[in-house]
Amino acid sequence: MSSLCLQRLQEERKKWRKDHPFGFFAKPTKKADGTMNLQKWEAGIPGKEGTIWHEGVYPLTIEYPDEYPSKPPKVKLPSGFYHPNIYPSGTICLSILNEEQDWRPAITLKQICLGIQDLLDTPNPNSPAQEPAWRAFQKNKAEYERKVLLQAKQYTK
Amino acid sequence: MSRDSNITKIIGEENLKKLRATKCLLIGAGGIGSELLKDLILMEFGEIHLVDLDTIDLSNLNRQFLFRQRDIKQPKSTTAVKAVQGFNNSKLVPYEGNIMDTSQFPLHWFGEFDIIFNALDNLAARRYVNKMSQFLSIPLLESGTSGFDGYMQPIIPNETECFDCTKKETPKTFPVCTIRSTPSQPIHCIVWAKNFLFAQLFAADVAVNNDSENKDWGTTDEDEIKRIKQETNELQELQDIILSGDTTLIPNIIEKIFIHDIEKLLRIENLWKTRTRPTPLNSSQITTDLIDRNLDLSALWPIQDQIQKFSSITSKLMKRMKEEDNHIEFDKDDEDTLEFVSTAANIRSQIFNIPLKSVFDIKQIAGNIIPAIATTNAIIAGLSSLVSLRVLSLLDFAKITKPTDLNMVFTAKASNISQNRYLSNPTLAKPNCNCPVCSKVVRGVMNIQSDMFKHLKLKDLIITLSEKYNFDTEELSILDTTGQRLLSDFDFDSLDEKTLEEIKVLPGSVILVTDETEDNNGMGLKPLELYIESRKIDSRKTSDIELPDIKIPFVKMTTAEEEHNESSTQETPVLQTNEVITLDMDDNDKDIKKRKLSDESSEATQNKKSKQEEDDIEIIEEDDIIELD
Repeated sequence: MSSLCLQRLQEERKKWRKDHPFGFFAKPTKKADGTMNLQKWEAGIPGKEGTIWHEGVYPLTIEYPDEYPSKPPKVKLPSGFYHPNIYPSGTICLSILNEEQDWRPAITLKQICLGIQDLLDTPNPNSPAQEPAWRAFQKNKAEYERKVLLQAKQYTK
Repeated sequence: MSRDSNITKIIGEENLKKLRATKCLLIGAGGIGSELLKDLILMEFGEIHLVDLDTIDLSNLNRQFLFRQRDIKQPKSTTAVKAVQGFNNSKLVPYEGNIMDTSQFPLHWFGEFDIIFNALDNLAARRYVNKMSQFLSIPLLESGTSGFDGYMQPIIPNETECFDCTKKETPKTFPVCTIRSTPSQPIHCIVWAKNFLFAQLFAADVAVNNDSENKDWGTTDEDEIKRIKQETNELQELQDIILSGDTTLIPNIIEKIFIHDIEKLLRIENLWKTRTRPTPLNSSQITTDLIDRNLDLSALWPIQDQIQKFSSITSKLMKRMKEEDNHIEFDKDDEDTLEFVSTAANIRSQIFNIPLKSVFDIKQIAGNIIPAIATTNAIIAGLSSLVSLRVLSLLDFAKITKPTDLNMVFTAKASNISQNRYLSNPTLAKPNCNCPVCSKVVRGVMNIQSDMFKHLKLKDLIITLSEKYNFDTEELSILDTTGQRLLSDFDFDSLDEKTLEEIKVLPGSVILVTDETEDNNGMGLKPLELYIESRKIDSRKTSDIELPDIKIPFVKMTTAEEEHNESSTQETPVLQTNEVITLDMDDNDKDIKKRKLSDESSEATQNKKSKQEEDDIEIIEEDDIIELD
C-alpha cells in the first residue's frame, strides 16, 4: 500500500469521527492479530424514513485497494441482498464506485454511504443487476414491496 | 592505466581522489543494473555494493551481458561481481537478498552510502528505497525502462521532487460488468478468457461449493438461493466435464459458453438498447474434430479454425489435467494454455463484433509482455552514471549551484512531448507540497534498546512520544506503516497494554504518529514517521528509547479539497508495465441518467437516478474487478 493510501484512510476515519450522518456507523475491521485494518471497514446504512426500507440498518463491507484513492473501494451488501441494482454476490455497481465512470479520489466515505442509502429507495430499472428484484420492481410492485419489507425486518435496527 | 587518464581528463585528479573514496549502493543487477555496474567500475567509484534477490534466467541473456548460459540459476549479484573481475578496479560487495528485508538491510546499513543507484523492476521496491533515501537524506538516482522508452531521475531529499511526488500509473482494471456481459474491445475478451474462463475450468479449487447446505446465503428467500446455487452449479458442471476427461462432451462446453450464455444475455433487453447485440454461435458451427493441427501463430485464423482449435486444445488440456493433479495455471509460455485463451477470446470477440487477434498478439497482451531493449538500458544507465558526477559535485565544467539545477531525463516518446526528439531533460522541480512521502510528514529514527521490546508497552511508547513532542495522548494515533495496521487511536486502545514484541513493533518497523488535535483554524502538528532501530544506546543516557530531536512544525492539516484533488499530483512519464493497454469509454448511453456528486456534498445525492454499469443477471461474480497482473 502506498503512503498516500494509508494517510488518506486515516483521514477518512478522522473525518467520519468529526462528521457522519445520523443513524450510520462505520469503522475499520480488526485483523487476526488484534490490530485494525484500515483497508477493510464495516458500516451500517439505515433505510430512509418514510420508505419501505426504513426499518432496517443494512450492513456494508468496504474494501479499499492498495491504489486507493486513485481507484475506488469495493463496496458490498450481504450476498443475495434483494435490490434491483445489487448483484447476487452483494456487489453494488454504483457509478461513483466505478473507476471508469464517476469515481473521483475526493469522494469520501460519507458520500458513498449517503449514495447507497439513496440508491436503496430509488433503484434504477435500466441497470438490472439481479433478476428477482428487478423483475418484481418492473412488473409486480406489491410483490417487490413485500420482499423489501421482509428483508428490512431481517436487518432491523 | 589508460582508463585512469581518461577519467582524470574529465573530472581532474582532485575529484578522482574523491570519487575513489566514494561508496555507492547499486540496487538491481538486471538489465539496467548490469549496465550501471560496468559504468560505475569504469568510472572508478571506490566501493560498489550490489544487491539483487534474483537468479539468472535464460530470457535475461540477450541484454544482461555479464551473464552466460552456464550462469543460469546462479544468483545475479555474485555472478555479476565475478564476471567483472577482469576489468574491475573498485571494491565490490555483492548481496543476495530483498532490499526491503529490514533484518538484512536495516536503515543504518543504507546510511553507509554516499549515493544510491536504483536499477529496480517494481514499484514497491522503488517506493521503499525512495523512503529510505528520504529518512537518511542520501541522494538517489532512480531509473527505469520499458521497451524503447526510459527515464532517469536524480532525487535530492528535501530539495527536489521525490519518487512519490508524482502519481504513478497503476495496472488497469475493468468493471466485472464489462468483462462478463458487455465487452467492447479485444482486451475485454482476453481478460474474460484468461482470468475467468481458464481460471474457472483449470485452475479453480475443486469442490469448493460442496458445503452449500450450511452456507450463509445472506437471504432466506428460497427462489433466490436456488438461483444462486444454479449459477454456481452451471460452472461446476463445466468443471466436472473437464475433470471427467470425456472429450466427447467438449461440444457441450462450447454450447454453454458461446450459445446459451449469450442467449441469456440477449434476453436482458436493457443491455442492448444502446449496444450492438451479440450473435451467438450457430450450433452447426460446433465441431467434433479434435485433431490438433499446427497453425501460423502470427496469422488471423477464420472463426471456424478458432472453434476447431478451441476444441482440440480443450481436449489436450483435459488430458493434461489428469497428469497434473487437476490444476493448470495460465502461462504465456505454455502453448496449450495460450492457445486456449486465444481461441476462447477470439470466439467471444466474434460473437460481440470485436476484431480478432493473432495468438502472437494475444500472448503479448495476456502475458503482459513488454520487450526489454538492451540499448535503452545502456542509454539510461549511462545517463544515470553521468549525472551522478554532477550530484556528487565532481564535474567542474557542469557545476550546479543548487539541486534544482540538476536534470532528469526521459524519452520524449513516453511523454508525448515531441515526435522529433528522443530525449527531454528538464531541470528538477522542488518537492510537491502535497506529496505523502516527502512533504506531509516529518521523519526520524527512534532507537530502542534491543532487550526492551519485550518489556515496553505500547502505552509506554505513547507516553514517551507525547512527553517529547507535546502530543495529546488522547488524540494520538499510531499506525504501523510497514504492516499497514492501526495500533492505537482515540477509539481503539485495546492494544495499549501489549508489549512492542507482542504487537510485532520490532526493529525495522516504521510507525506513523499523528496527533489529531486541530485548532479552530484547522492547524495541527505535522504527522511524524519513525523508523525503529535497535542499536546500542549510549550508556550515559538513562532512557530506553532514544527519540530524534525534531521540532515538529505546526501546519494546516489536510483537507479533502486540497489533498485529494487529482491535479495535485501531476502525472509524469514514469513507465510502468501496463501502459500498453488502452481502454474504451464505452458508456455513451444517453437515456440513463447519471448520479453525480457535486464537489462538496452529500446533498448532491438527492439526484435520484443512479447509473450502474449494466450487468448480466445470470452471471456470478466473485470479484468486482478483474485485474491484469
